[in-house]
Amino acid sequence: MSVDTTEKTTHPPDGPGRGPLIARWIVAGPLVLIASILVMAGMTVWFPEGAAGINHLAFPLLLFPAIWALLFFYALLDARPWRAGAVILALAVANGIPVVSALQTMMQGGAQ
Amino acid sequence: MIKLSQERTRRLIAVHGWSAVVCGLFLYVVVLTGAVAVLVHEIGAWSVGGSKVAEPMAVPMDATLRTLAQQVPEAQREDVSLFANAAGELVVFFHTHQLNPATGNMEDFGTLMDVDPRSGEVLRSREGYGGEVFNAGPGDALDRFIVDLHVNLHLPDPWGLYATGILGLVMLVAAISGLLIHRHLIKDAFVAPRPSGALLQKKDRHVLAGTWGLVFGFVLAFTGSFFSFATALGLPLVAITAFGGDQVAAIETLVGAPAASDDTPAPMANLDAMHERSAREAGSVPLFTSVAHWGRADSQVLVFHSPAEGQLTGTSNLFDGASGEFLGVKPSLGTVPSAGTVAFDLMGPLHFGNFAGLLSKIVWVCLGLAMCYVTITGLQLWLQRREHDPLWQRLAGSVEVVAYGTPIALAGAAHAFFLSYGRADTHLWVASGFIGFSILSILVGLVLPRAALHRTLAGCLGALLVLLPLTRMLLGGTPWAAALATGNGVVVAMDMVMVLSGVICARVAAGLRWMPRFAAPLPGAAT
Amino acid sequence: MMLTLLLFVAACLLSSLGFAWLAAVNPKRRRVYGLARPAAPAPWQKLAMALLVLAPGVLLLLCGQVAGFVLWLGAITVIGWVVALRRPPLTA
Repeated sequence: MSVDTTEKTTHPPDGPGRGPLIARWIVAGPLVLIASILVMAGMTVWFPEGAAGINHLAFPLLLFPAIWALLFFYALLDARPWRAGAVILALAVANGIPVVSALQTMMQGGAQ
Repeated sequence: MIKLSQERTRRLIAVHGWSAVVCGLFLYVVVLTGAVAVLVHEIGAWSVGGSKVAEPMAVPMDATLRTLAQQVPEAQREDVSLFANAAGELVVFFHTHQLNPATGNMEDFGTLMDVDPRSGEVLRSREGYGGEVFNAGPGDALDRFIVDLHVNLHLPDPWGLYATGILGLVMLVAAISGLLIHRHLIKDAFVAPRPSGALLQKKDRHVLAGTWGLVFGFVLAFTGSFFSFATALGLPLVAITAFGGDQVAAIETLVGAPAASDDTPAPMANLDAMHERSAREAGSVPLFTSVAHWGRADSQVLVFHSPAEGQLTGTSNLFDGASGEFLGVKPSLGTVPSAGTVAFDLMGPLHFGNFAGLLSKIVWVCLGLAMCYVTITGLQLWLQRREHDPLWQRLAGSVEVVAYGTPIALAGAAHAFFLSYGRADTHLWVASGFIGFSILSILVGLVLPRAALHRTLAGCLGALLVLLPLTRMLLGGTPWAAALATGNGVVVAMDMVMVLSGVICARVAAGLRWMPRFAAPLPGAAT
Repeated sequence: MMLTLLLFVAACLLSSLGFAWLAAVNPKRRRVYGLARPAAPAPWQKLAMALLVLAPGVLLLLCGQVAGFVLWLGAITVIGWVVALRRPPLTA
């Protein structure tokens, strides 16, 4: 297991002030949790079904702790919390679209 | 060896430390009860004085079942679950599926009967939703209390599962950040706790135990948070995206339920013959049997087995309920083997350690206790670094109270079980015993000075453990000779484990090391 | 489960021997306890130590003992820890 050993000099570590610290808290805390939940739910749409037609259902459930841990350590270790936040947010939105559309269909079905 | 920039290492140390300070004591309770819960079946058998017959699921039951089926409402014959409880009784649950207004979910509803496998006599019968009737018998109180404490901290669903799931994630973070922080993992693998200096010794102790426990700490945390989140969070969400919110449809697809339905009445084939064939195929006695659509042409019987010799995962055999024909091995997920099934099947054995009988359970108990040690020594290291801060020192007392108070309360709950078994509501008594001894431990922590706390609590725990076999036998529990004569060696073995654990605690209380030539377990004994 | 038990016990014993050897010659450990620093182990000794610790696990897998392998993996993490935790006899 290896991790990027140096932070590039063009990206200074957290600057003075509490801004980056608070950003990292928000990104690594609630944002990562919401993103990993959405990735788990959204995965069912793009993950291959496999021979038994259940891999797209089983692997999101199995991998949830791994997805969360991966995103959490990315948010923690990236030199710039905002960049990590943007990447994780993009991931959350991309996987959240099928979840939201499924919810909408469900609501409409319920209303009819 | 992993090199990180100073800034990143600082962040990792902050996360490693603070997450442990905030969640460490809860994590300890979950991990300790998990280590104990590995032996749930043995504790259950011990608490009720052993099993009536050695293999209740191997006893012929076809005739009994046909009689019982006539006694329940027709709707409840939709599905039947069969397994043995710790007392060696056959548990038969005739049920249907209906909406539970209390929870708003589709749940199993039916009649659950505890049956004497030798005579076929119904010992107890109760009707209700699955969650209400399962494990509600008097003999289930102690083992269920421990399991529920581990699984959901006795909090209501789904909050308890969320809580333990998050604790699993915290443990995952601790394992990964610990690996990244510690730079000389291999080099320091044999460096014993340095005898000089309390801080160094505490650091060495924590690092050493953490290094060796890393792999299984990761495995147990990962599988544990999977079990917590999969049903409480994952399944409902996956059902929304893939099945428009229909959880029953999601489960049916996952388990590969047959699509075709045929409600023509048809007599059931002989279940004993199916069990016999299934045992021949799998090489072991059935563990659990599920009959779908009792008395219908489309009835199917699924028989689950423990792993065969040398294997990690068990098998399940599928039979045609009406003809008794063996239809083949059924994967746990879907109808044909797949990567998802393999990965899913590994979660249980890796978390519960129940794949090779008592042997694997003993190894898993040791792994769990090692994790407890890592948690407590980590908290002690944090507090030792802040030993001149009065606020943190108050927490130091609570670490000792929780570290010893949890096993004290568990032992107290076991005493309460023996006091009430056959006399009063065991479930109420076990819970009261646990709470009562928890409060006692807290009071001891408040009253006694810090220096005396460690040895006093160790002494209390030792006394409670040593007395357990006495309480058990004095209050009518099976004596050793009778237990051995009926093949219930597990009762004697559990008694001996209690006495041995008690003696180790007594050694600590007497100011000795927990074993000769070993580092002292906690600070009180080190000074 | 008898076969699994026998293979498991044998594998754990071999690996424990490897751990005990590794611990006995570990320079940092010896320094902590003020023991004489031994000569660095020869390449064949290093190989022997690694084989003693790891080969039992590989053999279990080759025998098709998946359960035995996982059990061994779990047990050696506890055994190794206990070996490291135990003090050398001289300072007892």
